[in-house]
Amino acid sequence: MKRYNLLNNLLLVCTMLTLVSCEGLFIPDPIDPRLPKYTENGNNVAGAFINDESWKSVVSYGFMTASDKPTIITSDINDSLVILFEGNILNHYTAIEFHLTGLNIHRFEDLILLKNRKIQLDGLTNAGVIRYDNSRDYLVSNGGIGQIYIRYVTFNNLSDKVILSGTFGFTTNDTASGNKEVSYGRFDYVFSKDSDFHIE
Amino acid sequence: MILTYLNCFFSSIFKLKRILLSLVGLVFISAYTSTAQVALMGGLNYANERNNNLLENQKPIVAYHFGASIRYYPFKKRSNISLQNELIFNQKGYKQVLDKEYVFHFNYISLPILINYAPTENFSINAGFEFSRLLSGNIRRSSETYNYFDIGLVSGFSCFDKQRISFYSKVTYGLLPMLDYYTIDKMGNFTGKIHDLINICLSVGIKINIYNEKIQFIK
Repeated sequence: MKRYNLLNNLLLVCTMLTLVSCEGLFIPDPIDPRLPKYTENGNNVAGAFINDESWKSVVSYGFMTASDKPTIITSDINDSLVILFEGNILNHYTAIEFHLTGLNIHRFEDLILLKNRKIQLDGLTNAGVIRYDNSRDYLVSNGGIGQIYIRYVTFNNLSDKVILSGTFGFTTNDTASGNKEVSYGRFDYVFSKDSDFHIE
Repeated sequence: MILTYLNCFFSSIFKLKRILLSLVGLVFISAYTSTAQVALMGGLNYANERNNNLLENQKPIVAYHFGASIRYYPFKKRSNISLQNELIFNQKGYKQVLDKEYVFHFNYISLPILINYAPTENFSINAGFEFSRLLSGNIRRSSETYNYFDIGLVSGFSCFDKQRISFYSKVTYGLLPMLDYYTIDKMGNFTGKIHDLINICLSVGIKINIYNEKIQFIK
């Protein structure tokens, strides 16, 4: 009987953990509610228009799972930085990536150098890219031209989490879908040193 | 649902700022020395937000209001002039029709202070000010996005005031912008700040006089 009670309690806890998810906080923009409001609170959301469609990223945590989590990958060899925002357009996987160079970001703590930094994207040394799913093949657009503006960077007390907030916009094209304009982009994420920041 | 809103209404009375409480106190002190009529009121709001071409595909919404009013006649020689104070739970807002319909509700506690003039026995016109405080909205963190205090100009009329049930209509023209926000262009540049979105509301409703005759608090 005791064993069955223990199993029941364990099953109940597992069910609760599965159901209880900590979602990003999507506050509609007061001017265009298809986008999230620009905030600097670590709301774990991002949004933009890709041509006329709204792209959304709302971080969602489940039991041992997470979706739409952002990622930063840095490389010492090339002095390159990749910032990846995963999201969707009408529930179709779509990610927006930024390939940046020359920023001198080698450690998690170096992210403070990005504060209030407006980085111009020329499509070559710095580029914005759309990565989207098409028949299970991840198609990537060509390097986009525009800018990413990382307006707000702040660490928590333990310096193991950082809030990055900013805006972006760029134009790109690919052979399959033609020109894509990414506009009115904004993001407000919390990056964890252990899980969201990778050194290659 | 009705109980929830009533609970919100009465609990919000205790959340009024000191200045509003002082105004309410002043009203009742003044009423204490004159004749007064107390009524319950409720009706519909046809609400929208005035703005400088800020919102795309914006449309008005139908909302509601309910509360209490007290009308008193401080001038013995001018019985066709009265002062009216109300305390109402007031829902305003707007909607935008984009890829789908986005509806914005703003729930206020409002304190209109009006002067009434009755040119005939069954008809009166009124004008004054309405002070409102934003209590909640249907948008997450609405208190962080929108300004919580509003002042409006009020003008309206009412019919059959001396009967048990009367009808009224009024327009509230907001004076203060609800929104302080950034303007962000396509590339993500912050180009300025917005101070916009101003309430405008047409209200119609019925009033039920609790006392059919003028009452006097002291003789």
